[in-house]
Amino acid sequence: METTTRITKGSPGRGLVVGGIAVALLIGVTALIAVGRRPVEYPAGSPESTVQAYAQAVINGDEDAAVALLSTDEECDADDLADAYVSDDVRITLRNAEIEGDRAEVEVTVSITSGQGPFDTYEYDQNHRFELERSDGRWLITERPWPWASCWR
Amino acid sequence: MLILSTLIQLLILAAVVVAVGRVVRRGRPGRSDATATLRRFFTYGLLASSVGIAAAGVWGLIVRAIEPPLVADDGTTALARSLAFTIVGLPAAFGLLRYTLVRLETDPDESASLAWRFYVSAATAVSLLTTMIAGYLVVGSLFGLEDGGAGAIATLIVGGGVWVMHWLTPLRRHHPPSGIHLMLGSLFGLTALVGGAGVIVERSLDRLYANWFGVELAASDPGDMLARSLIVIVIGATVWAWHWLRPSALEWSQLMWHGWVLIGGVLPGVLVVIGAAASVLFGILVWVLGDRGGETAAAFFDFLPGAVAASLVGATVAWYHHRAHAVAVTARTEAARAYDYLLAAVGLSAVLTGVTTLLVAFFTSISSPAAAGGDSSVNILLAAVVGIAIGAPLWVRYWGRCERHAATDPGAELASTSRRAFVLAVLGISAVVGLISVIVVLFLFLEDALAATLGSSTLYDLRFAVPLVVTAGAGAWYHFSVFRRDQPLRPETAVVALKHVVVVTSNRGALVERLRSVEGFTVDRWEIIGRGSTPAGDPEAVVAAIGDAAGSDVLVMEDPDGAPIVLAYRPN
Repeated sequence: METTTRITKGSPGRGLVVGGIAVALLIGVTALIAVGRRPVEYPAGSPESTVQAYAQAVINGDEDAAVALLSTDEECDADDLADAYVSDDVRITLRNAEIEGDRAEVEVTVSITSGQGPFDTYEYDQNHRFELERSDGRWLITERPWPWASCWR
Repeated sequence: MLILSTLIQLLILAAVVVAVGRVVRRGRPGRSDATATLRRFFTYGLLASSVGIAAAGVWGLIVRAIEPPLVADDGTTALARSLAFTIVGLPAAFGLLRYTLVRLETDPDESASLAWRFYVSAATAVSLLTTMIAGYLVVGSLFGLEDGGAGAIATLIVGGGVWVMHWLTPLRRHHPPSGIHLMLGSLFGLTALVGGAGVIVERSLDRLYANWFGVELAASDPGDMLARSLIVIVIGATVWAWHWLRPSALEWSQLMWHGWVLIGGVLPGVLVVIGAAASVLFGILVWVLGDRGGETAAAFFDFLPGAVAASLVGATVAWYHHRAHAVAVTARTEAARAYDYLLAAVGLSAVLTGVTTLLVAFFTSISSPAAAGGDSSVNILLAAVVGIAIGAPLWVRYWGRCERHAATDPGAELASTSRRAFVLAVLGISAVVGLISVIVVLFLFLEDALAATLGSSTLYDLRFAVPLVVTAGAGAWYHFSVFRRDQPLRPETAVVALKHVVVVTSNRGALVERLRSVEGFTVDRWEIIGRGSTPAGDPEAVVAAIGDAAGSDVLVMEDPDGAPIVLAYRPN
């Protein structure tokens, strides 16, 4: 068993302290950005704004407002939505949005956190795609979107 | 209740660590006590936990800071956890790292401790592996091959940061002199490099085979797989070069270097080549003599591209490492012994399995000819023949080499750990299998005898157990005879003089390496800075002087001309 020891001058941990302060500053800036992030306000009348309004209504438990953003062809109603499971801790980020004529696709990631306490927290992501069509100048969601797996009636 | 249970488990673990530490250090010179071991256990355990908590917290913050545009947000749990982890974990990690660095710089026992070496090896290995995987996902995402996202970028930053913290700060001066961190990095890098290259070669040969023989009706574009493999190759090559090509051999202990080259490099390459050769031989024999399953030749032999690719890659890896070993070493090292015994064990296993299979087929054929028929039985017999054809030369070559060394240099060979482990392992396993098989044979025989139903059906029931008795018994008998033959020839364990040697030197050459190679010497090397390299003097004279020195603690210094001065001292 052998070791190599270099005889040096000065405090051995000084470089580490300076580096640590620099890293801490960087992480502090990162934390400020993370804490300060808020949902983007998408232009009214865009597919993203429709999805955003729908998602916010679902999270707030306002089923009627959410269902009002669905296409009239959609069979699901507010009662179906009330039966669907929505976690208490949800974040939704935009992955992609594409418009082709009167149809659009908006892809999002739904991040769900569950559990209690800092050491019993479980987080997972689900990718969902919203399909929309333009009807009377409004973008409405056509396919049965998150959080539905199915309509029961 | 949970806290109490965790506390009890922690105390039990601490007691085990202290006990192990005392056993490991028993007989070694230098300062050692249970208190220091316990302190290190908690210090490095706390340091590892703090680094992990800080990393998890910072990861969450980075993900949150760089993730795609937020559509809706009703979640605060993850952010609160990330902040709490960062606020507590980061200062704790840096504080403990600074404390550790001060201890390492001021106390030679600290960097020599098992706890530190385990911590720094594990920390560098885990962070390196994490960084490699995240690096692949990030680069793959850039080319549209993977869906890494913010999580992969954050993992790359955090994992890379932890790796940098342990590699590019003054902590690097206290990396384990055994070079285990270099070995682990080389292992990760080489595995990725070889894996990626293997996929490219296999896909290329597979495509050529399909085009030549027209066996492919439709295929997906291989471009993505090739691009993925290229990324893996670049990452693997970078990591391998950093850990294997960049450092000098002096940064490894001899045992670790030889062990890595032979056991980590040559052996896997040779085994891959042997496996590929066995599959080709089996395929040819089945095509000529066995059940082809009604396939055309082109479809039947479609495993050839994979076998050839594995052979090429395996042979390259084995050749490279064998060349490195041959250039550096002429003597028979313990790693070379381990290599020989491992290959002998592989050969022996293949032979015994093949012989057992042949005997099972024989007993089946004489007890129930109807059951022995069928094309698939022929293929099993051919597999047994291949096992014997591949295994027998392997066993003869490597076991024969070991026996020759045992005859010419019994002192070193018979006392070696590798030989003892091989003989005892083969003896133990074959004895256990043989005994269990004897019990089964006796049980089946007595069962039919007591029921007065002895006959061909009894023989049929015994078709597995009897061959196992024969082959395991033969293996046990042979290795028991080897064990008994070795015993009186094995030299008594020499009384090793235990010396703790501190070498204060400006020379990094032969002297320190020679001292390291002496059994019983624990060598701490203190490098003099700001003085040109001086001649090393006669290493053998220094070894002799250390052996003659009174006491177990010895200081080796240099006079102004570089001549070594050997002083015995007593640590306070």
